Parts: sequence; C-alpha cells; structure tokens
Amino acid sequence: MDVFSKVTDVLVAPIDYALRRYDPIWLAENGKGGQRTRYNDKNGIEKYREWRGTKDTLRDYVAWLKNVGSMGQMVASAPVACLKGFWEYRWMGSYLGTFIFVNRLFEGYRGEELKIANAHMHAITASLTKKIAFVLKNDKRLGGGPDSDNIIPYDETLPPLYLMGFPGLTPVPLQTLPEFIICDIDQHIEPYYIDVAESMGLPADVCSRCSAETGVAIDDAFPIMGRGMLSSNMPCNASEATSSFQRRRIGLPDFPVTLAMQHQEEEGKDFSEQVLKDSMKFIEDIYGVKYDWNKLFEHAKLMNEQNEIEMEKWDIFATPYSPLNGISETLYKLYEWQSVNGAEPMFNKVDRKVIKIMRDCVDKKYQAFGGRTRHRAFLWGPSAVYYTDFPTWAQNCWGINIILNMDSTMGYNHIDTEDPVKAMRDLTEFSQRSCMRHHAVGGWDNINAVWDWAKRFNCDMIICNDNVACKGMNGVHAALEEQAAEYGMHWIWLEHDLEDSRTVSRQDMRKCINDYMSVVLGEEPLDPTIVEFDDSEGY
Amino acid sequence: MKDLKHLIYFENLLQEAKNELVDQAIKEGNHPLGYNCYYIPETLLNLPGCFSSRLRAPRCTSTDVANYYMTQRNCPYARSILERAVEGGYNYLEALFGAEACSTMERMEEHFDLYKPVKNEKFFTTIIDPPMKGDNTNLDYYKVQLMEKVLKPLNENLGVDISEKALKAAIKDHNEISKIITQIGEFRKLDNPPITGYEFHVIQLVSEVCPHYLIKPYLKETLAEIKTRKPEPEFPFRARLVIAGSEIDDPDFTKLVESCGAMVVADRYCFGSFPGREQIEIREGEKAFDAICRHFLETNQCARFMDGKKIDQRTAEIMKLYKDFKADGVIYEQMKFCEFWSYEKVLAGNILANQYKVPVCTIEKEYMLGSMGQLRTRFQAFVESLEIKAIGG
Repeated sequence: MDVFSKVTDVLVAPIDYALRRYDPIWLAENGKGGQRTRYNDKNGIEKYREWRGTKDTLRDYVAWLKNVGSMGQMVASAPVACLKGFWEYRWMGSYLGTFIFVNRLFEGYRGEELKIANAHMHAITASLTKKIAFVLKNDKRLGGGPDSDNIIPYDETLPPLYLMGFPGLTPVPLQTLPEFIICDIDQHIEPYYIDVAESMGLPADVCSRCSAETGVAIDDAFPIMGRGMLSSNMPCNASEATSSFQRRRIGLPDFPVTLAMQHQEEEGKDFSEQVLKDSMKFIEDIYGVKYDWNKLFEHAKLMNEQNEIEMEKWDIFATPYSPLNGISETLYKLYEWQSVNGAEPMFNKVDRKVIKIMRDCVDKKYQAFGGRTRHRAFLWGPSAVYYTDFPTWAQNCWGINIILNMDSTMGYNHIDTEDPVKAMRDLTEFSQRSCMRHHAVGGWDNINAVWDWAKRFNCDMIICNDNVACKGMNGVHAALEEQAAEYGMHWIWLEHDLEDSRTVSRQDMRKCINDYMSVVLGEEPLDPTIVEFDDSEGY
Repeated sequence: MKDLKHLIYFENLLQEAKNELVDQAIKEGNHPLGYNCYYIPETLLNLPGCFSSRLRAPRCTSTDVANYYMTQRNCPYARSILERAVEGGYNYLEALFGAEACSTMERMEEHFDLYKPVKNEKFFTTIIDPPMKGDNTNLDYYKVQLMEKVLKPLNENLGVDISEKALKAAIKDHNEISKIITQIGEFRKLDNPPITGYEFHVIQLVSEVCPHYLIKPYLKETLAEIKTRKPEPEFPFRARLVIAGSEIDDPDFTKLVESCGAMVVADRYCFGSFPGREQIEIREGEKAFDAICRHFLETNQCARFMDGKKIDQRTAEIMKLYKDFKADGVIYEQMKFCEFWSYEKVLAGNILANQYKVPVCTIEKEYMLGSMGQLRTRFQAFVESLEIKAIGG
C-alpha cells in the first residue's frame, strides 16, 4: 500500500465509521439489514447508491459517470440515428436500464475487485455504445449510411477473428445488440419477442433465446446492413433452426458456417477448416474484396496477447487471492472473446492493467469479498441471460464465489501470425471452441470435462445451469449427477429458462441455491435480506 | 375393400422390435444392426451378412427410467427408445449406428455406450457427425464420417465385407425393396386407391424393421394382391392429405387421421417413404460407397439442413407430393420437444399457406399416440374446412 493510500485511509476512516450504517455488508453482519434494504420491493429501484466506504463509493461513482459519458458520446455521435433507433426498435428502450444494471452487477464489490469490475464494465460500455451508434448510422431500415454495404453481419456465436482479414469491412454480430445483450440488461424485453414467435405457432418448449431471435426476425427488428450474412450452426439445434427465419426475413444472401459438432476429432477439424475457407470465399465473392492475411495477423496478435494474459489469470484463479471472479470475470470474458476477438486494442490495455492488479493481489495475499467466500464454484452450462447478476447474489447471500464459467473456457489456442496455412488451422481450432458450444455439443466427453475444470481451479462446488429448454443438457442429467456423487463434489442444478423470466423467475433460481445451501449443507446466509425477495418487476 | 392377406401378419411384426423375422435372420447368422435416423444410410447396414433394424419402441407406455436419465423435457421418441433399451428390448442388436442429428438423439445414443443397456457382448455404438448442408464440402465430410464410423467398425468388429462388390449388392437390395414399396405407394395417386394410408404405413414400416431378404417375398405378394384388389365403389374418404414432419412410426396415427375422413396419400416424415424408397443410381465412374453417400445426402429432407438450397428443397418436395398425389391439404407434424420441426412446421406451414395457398394444419404429438381426442378434433375440423373450401370452389 503506498503512502497516499495510507494517508487517505486514515483521513476517511471517521467518515466510513459514521456512515457504516448505510453499508449493506455491515448491516448484514450486524443483523440490521443488508443488500435489499435500500431497494424498493418488486421493481428493484434503489433508494440510494450502495455505500461502500468513502473511497470505493467515490471510485464507483466516477466509473458510473464514465459510463454515462460513453452513453452520451453514443448519442452525440449519431443523434438522428439514435432517435430513429429509439422510434423504430423496441429493444433500444431497454438500453436505458444500463445504469441500474451496472449497479446491480457489482453489489458488495469493494477494493481491488471493484477496481477491476469497473475497468471491465467501462470497456464493455465504451465498446458497445460505439457499436450501437455505428450500426444505427448504417442501418438500412433507418436510411443507411456510408458503411452500410461494408458490414459483414454474422451470427454472434461465430468468433469474428477470422473475418478481420477483409480490408475495409467491419464484422458486426447480428443478434448481439437487438437480442442478446439487451436481455442481460432488461429481463422484460425478450418475453415480447418470444410472444411474437409463439403467436406464429412456435411451441413454448424451444430454447427461449432462439425463440426470441425468431421474434426479433418476425418483428423486423434486426438492423439491416451488409451485402451478405453468415449464419452458423452454433451453438445448438434451436439456434440452427432459427437461422432459417432470420435468413428469410433479413433477405440477404446467406452462408451457413456449419462447423463440426464433433470438433475434437481430426476429421472434424479438417471439415471445419474447409467450411471456414468456403465462407471466406463467399465473402470475397459477395463483397468483391481479397482476404489480407497481414491484416488478420495484426488482430491475431492482439487476440494472442489477450489469451496469454488469460492463461496467467487462470493460474491466479486457482489461488484464493484472485480479485477477479464472478460476473466481473464472466461478462467481460464473454464480451471480449465473443464480440471483440482481437478487434479493439482498448481491451488489451484493460487486460494489461487488470493482470497487474491481480499479480499485486497474489503478492499481498489479498482476499476478495473481505474473505467472506465459503465455497468456490464452477458455473457449468449456458447461464440465464435475464439473471446476469446471479453470481453476485450467490457471493453476497451464501458466500459462493463463482470462480469461472463454462463460457470462459472458449478458444485459447495461439494463432500463428506468420504462416497463413498454420494460421488457418489455428483459427479453425479457435473458432470451434465458441460460446455455449464447445462443451455442450459433440458428445459426452465435452460436457463431462466439467470435473477437470473444477479441479483445476480448486472448486468444491459445481452449479450446473439447467436451461429447461436445452435438449442437449437435459439429456445428461442423471449421468452428471451420478458423476457428482462419485467425485464427492457439491452439485446444484440451477433451473432457468435462459431468456424468459416468466417461466423460471429469478427468485425461482435463487430458491434452487437456497434449498441446497440450507437443507443439504445446513448453512446460514451471509445476508438474510436477499435470500428471498421479489424483483419480478425490475429491469 | 377386402383385407390384405398379410396385413395382420405385418401388424404383428410391428409389435416388437425383435420380431420373428429378426429372430430368424439372427439364427441364420446375420448381424442385426440398429439405427434411428435417415442420416445413417440403411443400405450400408444391409451389406451381405447384415440386416438393418430401424429402432422403434412399440407399445411403450412409460418412460420413467429414461426420464431419470434425460428428464421428461426431451423428445419422447428418444426417451422411449432408451426406455426400451433399458427394458432389454434391443438385446438382439450387435451395434447401434447413431447420428448427432439432434442433441437429444445424440444424448440418447450416448447412453447406449455409457450405461451399456444392450446386453450383447458384441454390441458397440458409434455416432456420426452428420452434415448440415448439401454442398461438396459437406458431402466429403459425410463420406468420411460414414467410412470411419459405420463401414470400418462393421469390418473391424464384425468382419463384415465392405468391398465394392458387397456395397453394390447392398444397393441392389435397396433398389429392389424400394421398387416394391414405391410401386405399392404409387397406387395412392389414383382417384380411388386400392390401398389406404394406414395399410401403406404398415407396409413401409415392416420394410424398415425387418430383414429385407425375409420380408421381400411378403411385400411382393402384397404388391401383386393390390394390383388386382378391388377398391371401394366410391372413394371412401372426404379429403386427401400429405403428412410431413418428424418421426412417426406408429401406424395408429395414420389410422386416426383416416378415421377423421382424410386419406393419407403421401408420407414425408421420418420412417416414411419420402425420402427413403428412391432408387440409388451409381453414376459413371462413381464408386458404390460414394453413390450411397451422395444419394442419402441429396434425398435427405431433414429440417436441420441450413443452406438455402436444402431449405427450398424441403418446401418443393412437399409441393411436388401435394400435386402428384392430388392432395387437398398438408398436415405438418412435429414430435413434442423437437426443435428442428418446431421451427420448420411454423416456417414451412406459413410459406405453404400464404405463398402457395395450400391448406395446412400443424400439430404437435407425443411418441405414443396420446391426446387422441384433441388430435381427432383438430383433424375433423381440418377435414371440414377442406370440404367447405371444396364447396366454395
């Protein structure tokens, strides 16, 4: 700790002492309240910001202002397009919930974990707001713009790194802005689109995420951009099926990038490599550009650096001294890997800054969350999008620290940056290991890898997301449970409906954990105010 | 119409996966090979010394054990097959050739390997990664998958001859049985057919679950019988329908539709004859194995195909059947929890109804015929709407 910090700590100590009755952690520890005390019931409106002590509250508030600044920049950079976007698309309105969303994500975060969380969230906000402005400015539904024909819309589960080699073209994930991220922010937006799809006759038992994508397509709520699109067979059956609706409603020439499901086999890799090559040829033909490997190598270097840092982070995750975990880790990794993928140097800067903090924490033997962690959990299976702050709740309520998430194990192999032949093979390996996919399909061994991951990060608990509509994961219920019994690992099924909070509410999800913790383990909650509460009307 | 001579015998053959012809073929030294999905070419499992057995779970009344393994929120066909395996209903099999055509199917087939419910020391399972497009890249991958996970294991584990000569013999067998079934099916194009949709469904099913060499004589005799069979004085149904969709291996479903007054004139579903009973052609310079792979990829109508050409082919095929068989409407069927057909039924149903103005009824069903009352009401209403449409011109 430097001298400045020590001095300021002394200076703010009386203030912190005087205001501690507003600190939810102190309240919970002293039986006087907790995290839920400052919220209105049901709608989840905060009566006041979380008091985290003088320094952390100020730090958090400055970070909050920086995010407001990014939102302001977005509107300022494309005021007319943003206005039209709000008018045209229902999902645009949900972005107004961003600030409530960010506050909720990092409840209970203090010190080093808060610093990292804020850095991560700001990177996401800054990147995302630029993307929204760019997309709206060039959306042909809203009149189009200078880059309307220079955008490659691709299925968001397809890693875009290999698309970086097309000069003058910008890959944009098709579903991320109007469907996926917006559900992270607002639990009430997707039910509308799901209802649109179901009103056409789609059964309610299909994956709600894909149903919502179908609804967005039918509702003509996908921005229109580019000259051809890349759909994908990732991650699952429903995702493949919904692409037929998107293809029809969007009306662009479509190339389905159907990578091997059994991607661990050499034959599968050969096939996937050829499919990627075929898709590159499709883009070259449609857009009339030639693939530039040197341009790809520039971005591959950024991705390689991200992954090198990631590997070092993993070593630290295995220790008790990581200040990076829970949703701060999950959300950033998901966005950085799936949407950025070596395209934005800003993320490399954030990674360098974060790994430095993490190294310091190991040296100092820093314990995140004030050492209140009781269990180290690996979160397996696709997570509920409408309950993004679930890991934060699990830590605050029961001391369950989500060390890592299944989707944080996405492609981390090195990409060759000199030889196109080797690079192509590396990109294939990398692309096959995409979000919600590389463990969830392709056979038992992929899903059964959970034990190795849990052991690698010294976890004593696995929380397995149980998307009620995920046919693949439903198919291994007993097999996984029996393995858990054999290995003596705590195993909790976390039931959810991915993007439809009406089927399994957030409280229903919390109940899955509450029941296990209280009935099976006989533990007492750290914060009794958040064991059971109604947030059904909140964002 | 006078009853078909072998109809009751055929119906009895469908009461168990291990029927008397399966028993006989095993006693005669043939290898029984199981499969579920069209992605596994039946032809490859009918190499000399082998016979294919497309898995059904007839008279399955409960899937309690399978529910434990796969939850009850999954395809009832897959659960019923697993249940039947646990009950010992497939102990006669020496292999199961699976396909990761859908997640549920793959998980179900995986349990055959993980829990070894089939008590047969020779038994083994492989699961292919089937293609999702009809282009050459996918065809090449399909060939690799079928070679590595079907032919080579057959040769290595069971000593099956996989030579060019053997493959040509399998194609010959396929073409023979397909020709018989197609000829029988063609009668459904007549204004007053001498066969019902139910009877055809039974005939088609026995051709998939019985050893070909043993069932063929009965099928030939049935074909001859139908050629001279006297139909009812007047067409006894009020409408003609095409059924399209996912897995239907219960002929009682067809019987239910027909009891509502509509003859099922074309069967474009898994276990149906479209696709399945087309002739395999070996093109000049083509190897038999390549011809089989190409044929099954080209004819495959699975809703999981993602490329535009195959998507359009699905609709075109339905329209062709609709016209060729002089149908009045189409029923799109979907097995409950089937993701692919959930989407296909909505999309294709809308295209057919709005773009081609074809009357469409979409339904969702369990594996074993449940909710009969609801389905009956739907079908009756659909038939009435077709009649009203006909009256209105």
